[in-house]
Amino acid sequence: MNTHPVKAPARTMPNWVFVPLALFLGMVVFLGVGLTRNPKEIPSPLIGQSAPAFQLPVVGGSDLFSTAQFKGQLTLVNLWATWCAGCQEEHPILMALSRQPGLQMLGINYKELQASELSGQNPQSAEAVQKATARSQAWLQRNGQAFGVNLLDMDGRVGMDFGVYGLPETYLVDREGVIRFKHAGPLTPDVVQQKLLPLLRNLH
Amino acid sequence: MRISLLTASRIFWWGLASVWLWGSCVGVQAADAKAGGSAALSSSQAASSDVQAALPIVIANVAVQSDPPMSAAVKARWDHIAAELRCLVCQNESLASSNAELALDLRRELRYLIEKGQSDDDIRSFLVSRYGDFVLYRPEFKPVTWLLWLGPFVLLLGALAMALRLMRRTPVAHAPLTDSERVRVRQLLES
Repeated sequence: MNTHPVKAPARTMPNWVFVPLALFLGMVVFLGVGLTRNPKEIPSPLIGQSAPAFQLPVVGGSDLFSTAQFKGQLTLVNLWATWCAGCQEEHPILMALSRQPGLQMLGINYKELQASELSGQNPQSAEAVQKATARSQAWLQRNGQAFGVNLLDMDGRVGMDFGVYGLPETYLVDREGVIRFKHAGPLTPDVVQQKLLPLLRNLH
Repeated sequence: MRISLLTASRIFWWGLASVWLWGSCVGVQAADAKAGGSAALSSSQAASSDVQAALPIVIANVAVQSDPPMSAAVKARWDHIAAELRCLVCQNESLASSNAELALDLRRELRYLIEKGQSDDDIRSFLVSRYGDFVLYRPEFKPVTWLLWLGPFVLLLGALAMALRLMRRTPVAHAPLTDSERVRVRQLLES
């Protein structure tokens, strides 16, 4: 006689209630990935572009080095200064890399004298250049001559063209003068093993 | 006025976080260098609690001591452009307000470019070609940045659509009570 079957009250949830949950999980994933990234690593727009044109004096000599000298060999460009602690830390790695065959090592001593030391003096003045040269050479004497060529960028203008925002920074320039790799901060064995050496092998 | 423990601890942590952020950008590049990290181009000694107000002094004392003062027109354009560019050393500061040495150099370069008569777009692309879109507080609208610009609006529309759907939902029609249920209800009501 009971015509209506007794049903439990309808409590199944419609599918769309999972949409906010999915959105939330999506955000968690995005934010989670964001947390693992280093905000100091800013992708360089120079990768794949020709190295900026420049001409700088070689430390302790009368020669000039210009962009044309990138042609024909692989060059590792390292921007450094004696006041930069990370540069000292990575120096043994640069020493090891300087023993790699077929790799030209180019140091650019970036703003050896900073604004606080110059106190308004022109960074290109003979006195400033002399002081920076002495400091640069003494530092390399102490820590090892990793650079085949060491240049002096007193006013930091060439560094600016390379897009430098902290020291040390390292670039790999190929035989055509195109920048293939950039690393901001001290080189680590991991970066060398996983990025730099494979790239060198490819370019050889 | 009573402040609950939760509110108090929130205030404490927010305060601590802001002090840390501020400290890490105003004067701690030296500590960074000591720790062996990438040595950010250290800020000038003239760091003051009010960076914005200290800016003209910093420039007068350290950066462009020998440079003549800017003309009003150049200054206006300079202010306008530098405020929209990010300092790469202290990433939450604009180029105009940062005391980092790199910011000083870039400001001087900006001035030089303005005085050379370059347009705002030329100057922006000068910086973007070196440091990437990251220097712009307002990145250009292009395919790579579509998600960045439109994402929030897409989310908002989605949320609105969802809300409308919820509001329009017709209540589920309940199955009529069976005879036995009716009897049970009556019993319950009368008891």
